[in-house]
Amino acid sequence: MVLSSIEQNYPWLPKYYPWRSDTTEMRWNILVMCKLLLVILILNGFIWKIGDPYIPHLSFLDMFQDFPGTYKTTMRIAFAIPAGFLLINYRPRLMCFILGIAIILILLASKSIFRNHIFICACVFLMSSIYKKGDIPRLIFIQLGIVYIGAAVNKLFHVDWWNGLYMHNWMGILMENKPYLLIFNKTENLVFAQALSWFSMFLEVVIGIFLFTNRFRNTAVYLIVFFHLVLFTVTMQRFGHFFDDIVIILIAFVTKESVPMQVYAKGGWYSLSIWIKKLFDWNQKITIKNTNSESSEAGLLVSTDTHEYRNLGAVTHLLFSSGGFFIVFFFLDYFLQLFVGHPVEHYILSVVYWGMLIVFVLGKQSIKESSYSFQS
Amino acid sequence: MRIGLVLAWLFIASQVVLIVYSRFIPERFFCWAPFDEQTVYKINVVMDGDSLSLEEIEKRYRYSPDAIEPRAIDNIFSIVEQYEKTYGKTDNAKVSITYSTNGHPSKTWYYPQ
Repeated sequence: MVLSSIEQNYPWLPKYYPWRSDTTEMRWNILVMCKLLLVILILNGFIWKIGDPYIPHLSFLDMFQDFPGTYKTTMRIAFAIPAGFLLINYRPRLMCFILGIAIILILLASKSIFRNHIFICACVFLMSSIYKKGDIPRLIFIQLGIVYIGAAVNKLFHVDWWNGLYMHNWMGILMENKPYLLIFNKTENLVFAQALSWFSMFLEVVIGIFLFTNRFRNTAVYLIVFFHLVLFTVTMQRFGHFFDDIVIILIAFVTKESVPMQVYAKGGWYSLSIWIKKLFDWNQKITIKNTNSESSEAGLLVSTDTHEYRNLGAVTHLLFSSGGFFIVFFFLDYFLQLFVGHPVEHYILSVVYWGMLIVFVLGKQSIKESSYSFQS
Repeated sequence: MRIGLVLAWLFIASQVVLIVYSRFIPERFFCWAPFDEQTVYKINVVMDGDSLSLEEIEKRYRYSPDAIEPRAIDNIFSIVEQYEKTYGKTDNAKVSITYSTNGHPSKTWYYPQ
């Protein structure tokens, strides 16, 4: 109510609400992805890592030793101001471009702070900055493909990935991973470690190649989700925040547009759709009609200009069309890490993530069976 | 958008170049090589006959002196060598890094070589 009264006096204000993602020239899911990547950098203290050049990759940056504080202050401003503007939806493409360049300059200034999970954020910011609403962000897909191909190439040329030594040393000796040791103790050789290594390398090559194609891109997404979920569940590690980065970047692959959705629901589906709207419909695209008194086939029907979805497929569509869903889930994950802690948080999230994957796959199947396209 | 696309493609191409280039050098920066080695290492620094404490070593290189490195150990060698050749040129420090990669027998890296 407070917001409504403010909006009456300032009708331009809703455009800048941080929780909105459909009010800019950037595609809604790309904007959500960029905001979440930014938030994860901030929550992991990236801004405090920004300093003057120290053991830089580019030796000429050492000239800033004569001007202490200059580089640090400039880079902190170059990060903080675009970050703020991105969060309030002001010129997001330009802000992403500046953020990408700033992060790369910060990484180039110090070998000690270089991390792949920070570099990937910079790359995705840069790729995101070139696309407008209506564009398919192909270079984000290709960027992710480069990441997997690069990772695969490094492993393919490393003998310890072929003989299983890396996997055995990591999982068996350093992590003392129980599921791994259970199988290793039965086999008493490195065959299982080798199989895991070869499978990882093979999967990375396949994912990388598939991401470069239109036809197999969706398959690549499923493989990425499967691969990282297995790693997350079995190793209980996030690899810095690389796991989080990959999950967030997958939002770029959502093809659904942020369009008005008319929902017809009855019974339990009506309550569910009300909850989905309350929790996740931050772009205010959902209108719900209770059809309890009507005889309709589906318990839940979601209709857009071009498509119709039913029941579980409709639920999946509603969730994956809502920026709020990804944001709420991100913070749920973060608060579980913060307040529940390892390892309980890990067990909970493993169950939740696998559950979501199953619901999504079933929902996709339901969409295939029940969706109707009005386009010829 | 056209210029943006060209620049983006150039950026992608530069990453491909760096991935290929990394095949010819020991370091693994900017070439998407995360978690392909696990190296247990410890850095020792001796200056004027006195060994630096772990806190002093961490302050010197801004890197943990006693940990497990999930990237190439050569990244750490590069950091140490660059420091000693530049900021620490007059310190005459003697650095040794004892390390074991992927469970292989321990080795020691020295600076100066």
